Amino acid sequence: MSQYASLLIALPLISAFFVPIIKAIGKKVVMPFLVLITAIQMGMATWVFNEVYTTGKPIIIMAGGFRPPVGINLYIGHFAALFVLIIAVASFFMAIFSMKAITVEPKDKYAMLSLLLMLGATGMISTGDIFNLFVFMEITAISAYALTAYNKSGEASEAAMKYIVLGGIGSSFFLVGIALIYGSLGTLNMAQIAQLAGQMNPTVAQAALAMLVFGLGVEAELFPLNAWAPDAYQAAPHPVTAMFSAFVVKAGLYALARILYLTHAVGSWGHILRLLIILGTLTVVIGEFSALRQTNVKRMFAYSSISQVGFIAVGFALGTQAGVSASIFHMVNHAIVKALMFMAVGYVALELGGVTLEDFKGLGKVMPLTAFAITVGAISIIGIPLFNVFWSKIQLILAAMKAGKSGVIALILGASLVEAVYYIRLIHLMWFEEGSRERTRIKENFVFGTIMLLLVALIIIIGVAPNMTWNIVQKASADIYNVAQYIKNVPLLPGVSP
Amino acid sequence: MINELMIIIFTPLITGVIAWLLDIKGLREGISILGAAVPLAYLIQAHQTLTSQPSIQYSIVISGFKFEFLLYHLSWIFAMIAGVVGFAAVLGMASTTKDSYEWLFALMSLTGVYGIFLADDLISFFIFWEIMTFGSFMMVLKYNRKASLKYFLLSVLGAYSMLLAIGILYAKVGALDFTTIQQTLYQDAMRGVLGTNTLLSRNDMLLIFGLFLIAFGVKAGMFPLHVWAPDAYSETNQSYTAMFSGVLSKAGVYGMLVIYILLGTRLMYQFGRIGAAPKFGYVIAFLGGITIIVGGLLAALQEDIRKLFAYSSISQVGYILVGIGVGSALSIEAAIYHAISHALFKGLFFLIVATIVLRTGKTEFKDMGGLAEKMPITFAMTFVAILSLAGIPPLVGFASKWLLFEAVIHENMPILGGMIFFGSAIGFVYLIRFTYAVWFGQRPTDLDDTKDTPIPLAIAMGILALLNVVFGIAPGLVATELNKIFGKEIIKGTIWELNIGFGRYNGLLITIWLVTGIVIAGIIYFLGAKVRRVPVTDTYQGGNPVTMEYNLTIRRNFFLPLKETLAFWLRISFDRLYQDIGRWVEDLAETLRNYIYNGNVQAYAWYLAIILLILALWGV
Amino acid sequence: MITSMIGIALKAFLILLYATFVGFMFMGIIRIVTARIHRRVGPPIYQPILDTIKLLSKKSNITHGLIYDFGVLYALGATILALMFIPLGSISILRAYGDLILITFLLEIPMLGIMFAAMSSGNPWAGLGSQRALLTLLAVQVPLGFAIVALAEFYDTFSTYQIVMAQQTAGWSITYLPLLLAAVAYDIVLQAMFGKEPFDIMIAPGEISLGPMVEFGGKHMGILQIQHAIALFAETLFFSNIFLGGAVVTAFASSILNTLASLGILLIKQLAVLLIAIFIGAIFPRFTIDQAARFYWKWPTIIAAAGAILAAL
Repeated sequence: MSQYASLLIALPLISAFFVPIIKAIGKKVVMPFLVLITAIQMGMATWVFNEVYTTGKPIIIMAGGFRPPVGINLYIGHFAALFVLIIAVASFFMAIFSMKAITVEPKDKYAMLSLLLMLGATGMISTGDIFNLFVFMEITAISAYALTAYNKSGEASEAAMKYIVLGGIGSSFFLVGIALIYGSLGTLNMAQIAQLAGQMNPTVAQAALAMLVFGLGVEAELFPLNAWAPDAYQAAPHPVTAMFSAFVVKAGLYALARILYLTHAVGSWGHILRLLIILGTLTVVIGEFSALRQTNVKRMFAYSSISQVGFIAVGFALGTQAGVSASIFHMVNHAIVKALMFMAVGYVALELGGVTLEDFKGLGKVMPLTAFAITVGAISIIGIPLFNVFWSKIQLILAAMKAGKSGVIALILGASLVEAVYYIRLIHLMWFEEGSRERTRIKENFVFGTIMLLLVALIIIIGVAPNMTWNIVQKASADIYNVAQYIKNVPLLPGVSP
Repeated sequence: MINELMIIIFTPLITGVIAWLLDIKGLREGISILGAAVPLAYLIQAHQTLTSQPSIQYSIVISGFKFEFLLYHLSWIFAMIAGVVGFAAVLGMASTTKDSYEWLFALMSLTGVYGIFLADDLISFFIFWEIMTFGSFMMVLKYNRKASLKYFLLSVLGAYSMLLAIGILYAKVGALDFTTIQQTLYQDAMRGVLGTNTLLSRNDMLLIFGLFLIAFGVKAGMFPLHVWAPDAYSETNQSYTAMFSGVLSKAGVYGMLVIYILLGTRLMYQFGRIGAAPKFGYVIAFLGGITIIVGGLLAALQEDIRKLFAYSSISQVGYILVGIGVGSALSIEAAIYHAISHALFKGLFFLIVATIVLRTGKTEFKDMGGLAEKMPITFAMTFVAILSLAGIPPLVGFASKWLLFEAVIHENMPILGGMIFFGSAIGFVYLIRFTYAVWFGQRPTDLDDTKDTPIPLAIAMGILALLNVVFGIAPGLVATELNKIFGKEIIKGTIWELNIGFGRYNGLLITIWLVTGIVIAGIIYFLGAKVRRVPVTDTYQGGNPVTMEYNLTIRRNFFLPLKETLAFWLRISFDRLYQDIGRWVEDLAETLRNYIYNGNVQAYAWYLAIILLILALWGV
Repeated sequence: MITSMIGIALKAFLILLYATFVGFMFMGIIRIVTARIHRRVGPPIYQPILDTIKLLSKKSNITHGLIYDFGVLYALGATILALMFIPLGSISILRAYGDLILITFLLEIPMLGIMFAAMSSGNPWAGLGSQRALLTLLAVQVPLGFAIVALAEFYDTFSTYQIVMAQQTAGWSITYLPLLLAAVAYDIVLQAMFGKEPFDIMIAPGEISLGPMVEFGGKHMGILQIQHAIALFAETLFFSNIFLGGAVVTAFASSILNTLASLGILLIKQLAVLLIAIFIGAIFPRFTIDQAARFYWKWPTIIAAAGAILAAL
């Protein structure tokens, strides 16, 4: 029964190839088809999520029935189940959003690419094989490059170009890292790597780990490997930006965390963590500073998103379970908030034709619902209690303090002050300042409004009653942190070792 | 069953949300007033409960944290301040608020304050601190971006300092609830006395204390962190400011007490004493003293009613800080007493300002004058408030100030004694300026049809004015509650009398003799011939005939000589300093961004190379 | 109960009468002594009483409203209140509550009533005068505060009566260095409290037409004259009590004789305080307000602070 979970990978893949056929049926059917597929995906993800969390056991799918390490396996544990769901839900919402937001032809290419993007991220999160991880990462990355350039403007092409160059370098080194591990251990199965990590030649292990971290750092938007991100976020179509922020970067972060914790037996592990903390902190600080004087709201949100990612990375790099839990919590919250905010910004761009601060003046009167959504999102990101991000932030801070990183926290908190400044300016701009242009109130789309309100409700519900989410998150973090359990869960073929 | 502490804390927020969602005129006011009244009723009821048991407790686990709430004598007193003044402010807002937005956030901040006072662990303390800050910030944001931003940034700076301090404590002690922290630190101090290694080093203690001081100092408006207060207090609904200044600043004061409760023994062991006061307390007290003077002098030089009272608020909180800093049981009781009276008279003052602003639509002294005739009820309230703030017996302002004076001077603190004396004089100075410019003298013709206060505001002012009088004449009422905090009779005496051994004050006696004196004067007055009422223009002007065309009132720059005397000191401004720092950071940020995200893909590729290099070097 | 209340009332009345009378005499003395220093003859000593009676019996009085009347009454009432708290030999009524801080405040309050009344008249001179009076108050408050602090810390009590009693055995306050400094500062402060030159900036006759007093006439002015007389008495009395040993004579068998002797000794001390003020006042010209503030915030403050710090050690 649980083997059907493999459909999570199969469905988007197959449907992506079906898109040209659908297009032949009728151009107008393409986008509804996308919505339909993501809806089905969401249904399946919900089922898987439910399955994993009720049984408490991960779903392990072995390709062709070969047991790992001979066959490639998918490992849908607590973390993967949670994030597959998030990916599916975010994709579904964005699919709906793109029905209106995507105006540039060829829409069929868009549908195909976004399905592949979803597929890639889902794959990255649920795979149990490191080379497979690389493959999915490439799928994600390449569809992301293409989607970045989708608007066919000069700006978009340039952004995509940067993304390709940097992403390409990153994934090449990632591949080299995998090669080193394979050469050293003779296996690509992640459980087995974890089992054998201690036996690796320390120098090789260090080099391999360094390259893996480097490669994933580009995808996970760590400073200064994230230079592509602001441009890409700004130039990509709005739903795509939301997806980037909601799950593409998260998949990279997940991979980073997973590999880190799998190899914690490696000698230089502590060094890598320290480096990651430094990079994460810099990501936060530079990200927030860069956002401070942005006049383009979408780009401002992009920087904000980047700095939040740095925050998550710091949490993972603490090396404690509390840190991992807090980071995952933050990932969940951030996904919700940023999906909401990028969607709202995209909607504003659709209606008003621009996303500069000038366009946002008096938005509260023109598009009250959207402005409200952005406000809630902003307040949440600043870290006000009764909103979801507060909980993850405070968990993270306390975890870091417990790990003795008070200097880092002081820096991060300082950066958060900066964050408060630009978000508050934006809020004031939207509600209490009059735009220079005379604008009448726009009738906001019912469906989009519902989605936004749904996300807003989610923000507040988690903010007021974080217990349920927190429990889920803790299980998910145990999935990553508790490597021994991970190894035990994967039914490795006995006797097969390099 | 829902716990009563939860009801006290969350009723305002819930009613606020309901009022905001419903947004029906009349209904939202009713609901909100109810939301402020319910906690007050529960608190009054809790007074009964607290006589039979020492405290009321409640705890709940959320998101992996155990939240603990505790209502005992100290928190009850502070919660009552919030209850009474909050209720009065909400009543006042029923007259001055036109927007459900304000109801939501005003009541949210009230919830925050209740939460702070009832919290018994650092996390809930912090959370409600943030809720309070956020609610009040949104109240300011609506009126003025710059003021609100300044307020928010300083508050959040304070909150993050607190968070860091909490984090350090958590890392060392491993717990967040007050009881464990208090006990652990007490034992730690004992360890120190015995000469064994302490859990927390000297630097840790210094850091924790400094961070907490920043956190609470910001909220209390302590010099030099006070710069947000004048702007924030004035740039919002003035009825709300009654709560803002009356109650929210008390959260900072309460925080200072929390420092004593949690860290007192440990800090005292680490840093010792100066004279009778603990050294760390002396820092608080001294900053409090400077706050009194700076706030007071600046209040005298303001040209805007709201700003005057904002600065006055800062100045008055300085007294409370002095009392807390001195750190004897008596001075702490005196400080809390002054916190009560400050909440009462300053709440009253801001409601008066709210009335004036509502009825005249003006805020600057230059546009005012002669309103006493047009607004007799409001003026009567003002009279009580002025006497109370100026510290004139037999009003509550005197009782608390007297207690504070004696407590401080008794501990042999000459410099602080001088500071608070100066503060009381400066109180006269700015109050008379307010009285003169707003209530007396020639009235600008456009204020001729000014109406008196609306009824809800009148009731709100009435409640506070009454308490100002009652707690002054019968100071024993407050003193008995204060004594319960320490569980012994620190202030002896009867309901009318405060007796602290080296000084006595009897409110009733003073009232009787003051009335006697006025009666004697009245007899002389009525023995004389009848009086004839003359208009304001019929005054001595060296023989010149005067008409309404002349401006008879000095409405602007009333204290110009003072300004000239202080010219040198007025050039120093912390507000400007902070703004410069802010601008500098913003410029730096922009430069940084331009260099780093320069848009050049080759540069980006170099970044990658550098990181790879670092990785390679780091690993090997 | 009732007899004791009548007794208290009678005593209060007598004290009031005595204080008023002596106060008026003081006012007369001020005028005579000043005149003699100026080589004039001066009015008879009872002239202020005549002036006051004239003012009170005026047939035509004007008012500027309720506050205008009430402020005047309040000023006199508060002065009487203050008087009751200051030990007068052994006969003061409320001396058990005669707290240093309370009396200091009570002596300042009447000014507030006068200002309220004066300002409500709307006369700009009154406004200007009040401003000056307030700034003077602000200026003197610092040395005054330090002087009080020095006293309270030296004797470790706030009770004026206990301070007086302590001086009976240990000698006058001014024989101790800290309190001598405090006394010097307080005496400089007294100059402003009396409204004498060089600190008569608030009334400044001929410049701002008596400032707060400009608008008063008739019975209002009469009441204020009485208030001034009592205040003069109370302020000198307070100073004599806290710095000059007060007077508690117990040498005679008869309590009446004791009381009279105490009053006599106190009167001499009060006169001494007054005369110093008159001499200084007759010699110096008037300061401007900012000069006064700078002056008070410099020397008297330093002196008094030194006293307070020495007393605290």
